[in-house]
Amino acid sequence: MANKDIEQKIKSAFSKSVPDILDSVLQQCSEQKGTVIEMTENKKKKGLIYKIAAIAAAFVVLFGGTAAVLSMIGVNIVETKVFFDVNPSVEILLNRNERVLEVNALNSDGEKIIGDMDFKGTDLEVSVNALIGSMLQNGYLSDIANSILVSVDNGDPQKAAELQQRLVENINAIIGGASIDGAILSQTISHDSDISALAEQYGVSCSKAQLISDILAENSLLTFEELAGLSINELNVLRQSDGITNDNLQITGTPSTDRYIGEKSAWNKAVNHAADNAENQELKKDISNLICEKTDENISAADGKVKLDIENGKMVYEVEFMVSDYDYEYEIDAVTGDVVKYDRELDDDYRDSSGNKKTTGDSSNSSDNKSSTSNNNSSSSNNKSSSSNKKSSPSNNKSSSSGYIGEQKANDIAFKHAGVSVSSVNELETELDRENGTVVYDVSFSAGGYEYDYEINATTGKIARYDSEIDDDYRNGTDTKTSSNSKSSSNGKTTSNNKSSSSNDKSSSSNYIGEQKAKEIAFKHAGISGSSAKEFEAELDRENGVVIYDVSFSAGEYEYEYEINAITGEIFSHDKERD
Amino acid sequence: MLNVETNSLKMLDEQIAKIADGDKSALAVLYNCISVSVYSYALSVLKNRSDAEDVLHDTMLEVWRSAPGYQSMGKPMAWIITIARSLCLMNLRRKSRFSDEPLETAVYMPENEELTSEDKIVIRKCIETLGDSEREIVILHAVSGFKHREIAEILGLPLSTVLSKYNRAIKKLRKTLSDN
Repeated sequence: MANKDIEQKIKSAFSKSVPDILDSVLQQCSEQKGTVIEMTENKKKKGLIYKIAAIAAAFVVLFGGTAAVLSMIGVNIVETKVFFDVNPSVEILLNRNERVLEVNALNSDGEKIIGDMDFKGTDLEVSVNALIGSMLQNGYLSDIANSILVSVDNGDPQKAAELQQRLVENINAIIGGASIDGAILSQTISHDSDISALAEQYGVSCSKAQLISDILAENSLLTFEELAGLSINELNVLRQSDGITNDNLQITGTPSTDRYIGEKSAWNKAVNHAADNAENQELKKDISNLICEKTDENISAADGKVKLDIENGKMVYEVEFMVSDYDYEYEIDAVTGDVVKYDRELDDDYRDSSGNKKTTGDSSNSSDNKSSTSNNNSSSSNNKSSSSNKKSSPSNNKSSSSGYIGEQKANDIAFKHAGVSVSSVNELETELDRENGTVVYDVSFSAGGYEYDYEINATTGKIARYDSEIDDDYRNGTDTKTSSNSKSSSNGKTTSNNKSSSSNDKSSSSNYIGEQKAKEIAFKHAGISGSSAKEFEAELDRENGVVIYDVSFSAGEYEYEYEINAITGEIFSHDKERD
Repeated sequence: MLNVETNSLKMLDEQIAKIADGDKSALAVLYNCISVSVYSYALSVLKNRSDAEDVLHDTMLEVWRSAPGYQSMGKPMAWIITIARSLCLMNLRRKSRFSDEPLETAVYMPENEELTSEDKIVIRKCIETLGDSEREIVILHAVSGFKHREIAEILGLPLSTVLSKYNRAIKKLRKTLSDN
């Protein structure tokens, strides 16, 4: 039994235990109030007129007041709360007769919806008509945003479910009347302190917080923070895109995606972008073959996939396809169609086959392999592969004439940042490259037992990205490294091994927890058994000066990546991605 | 019923302000919102339904009396539970002078007809299985919706104590309720 279930049982049992002593309380209050007035009157010795007034006041309080209160008991008591979330969020407080006690805005859009309407004492149906009407009128509910979340909070689950049903039918009819196909999500909710805390933290209603929590329970890649800013329609689209259903969530209709450019258009934008950036005609032709020209043509599952997702709080199409041993991954802004992010890396199968399968693009082989561990720089491989193995010497200042800072300056920036002297640098490679449309200098070198990799904005000299890791030769030689350690074996980088023999003290591996332990920590955190993990890789690495185990593996449909402090075993970062 | 969400707290504050002006309908609204919390809390401390009823009654009267002096710090529920708590402690002090009542189901079990046999088991297990402070903490969290941090403030205990007592209590309940 989960904690929540136990708490719910306790709450339910104790809620039914309370004796009804309100009458007695009210009566006693009246008596006390009467007494107070009399005592005041005695003490202060007011004149007769005041006495009469005071006693009259006491009677009004005692009788008139009590009668009024008794007639109001029950009708002024909140029995049900109804929440509407679209982007505006409002709550309606109802008494037991479903008369409205209050309507409150839960965000600024909610205030706009309510305006100066006074709902007190109105029938629920009338209020729903007015509120939904106002949402339609203000454009919050429309063809391009047709989702609404309806939530009911009532101590009696049966009553709550019945009202939920009626509200859905009612709202469907109102939205339908405006010639809009509504998509209604509905749920019954009850107080949950965790949900309330999240709602408060992120400034959303409890009902929306509940929906977000349900989505997160099914998709751990998302965060509350990024979902909190989305409208219900966007959440509904995401929920549908991920195939998320929940027992408590009733769904009618389909969320509108009319605001978005559509899967096909997103696909073509990604494919066209990849073709435009292809380094040779052959690849360009291969990529262009993927373009979907006919409107009724479906994107073949064999070619790749496209799905709606969220990136930094924005809806994007995630497009993935594979051409000529390259995996392409794009994120296309779902509204504008702009390329938000793109990435290319050498296909896993290709990488695992020891490089014998194909030999074109040798230099991209090394860079692409690298991108599989450091994740961000694979898109930079386009230019690299065309410049085939060319190592730049300091004199090869090919770009100084084009308004760029020049290789020498880029090198200096990197050395300075790394805190290394020019004399200690080995294996310097500097190349002009392109990263997400920006021209950068890709500077890589080794010094003092570490390998450094920098990307420096070629125009501004700003460091766009940097990465340093312990040189392969510094790593624990006894570790059972897996086959994917291509970094040390493939490219020409490790030709001069003399650099590492002198200063091994930096990585005294005896203090480290070891790969096995790191593996166990990652498995435990991921909640999987060792036997279900595949493609396991573990490498000793360095992150911001701390030695870590970089652990990755796949299990089920997911790929996992962990960074684990090599000494304390603390998990630095973890990532879970659909395979 | 009580809900310690922000909006509800605001609503409680408004009711207390009205009560301070002598508005008894506001007292009725407040009663509806807090009676479950106050009564459950009192029952959990006193283990006697009639004493718990007295505490609920006296808490409402005290709220009525003290409302004019109430200064909203955004924590109306904590204020009310603190009143209930001091009334409970007074009751316990009085009791310890005059009697030492044995713990009998008939003494504490509420008589409400709505209670199912499962509800009764839950109440019995809460009363009989948990230690006094464990029960106090569990009720404040599960029934009233207080956060552990707030419970620590109300009871004047370190947060770590509240958390460990809460976890221990839930473990005990899980075990004993699963055994049933």
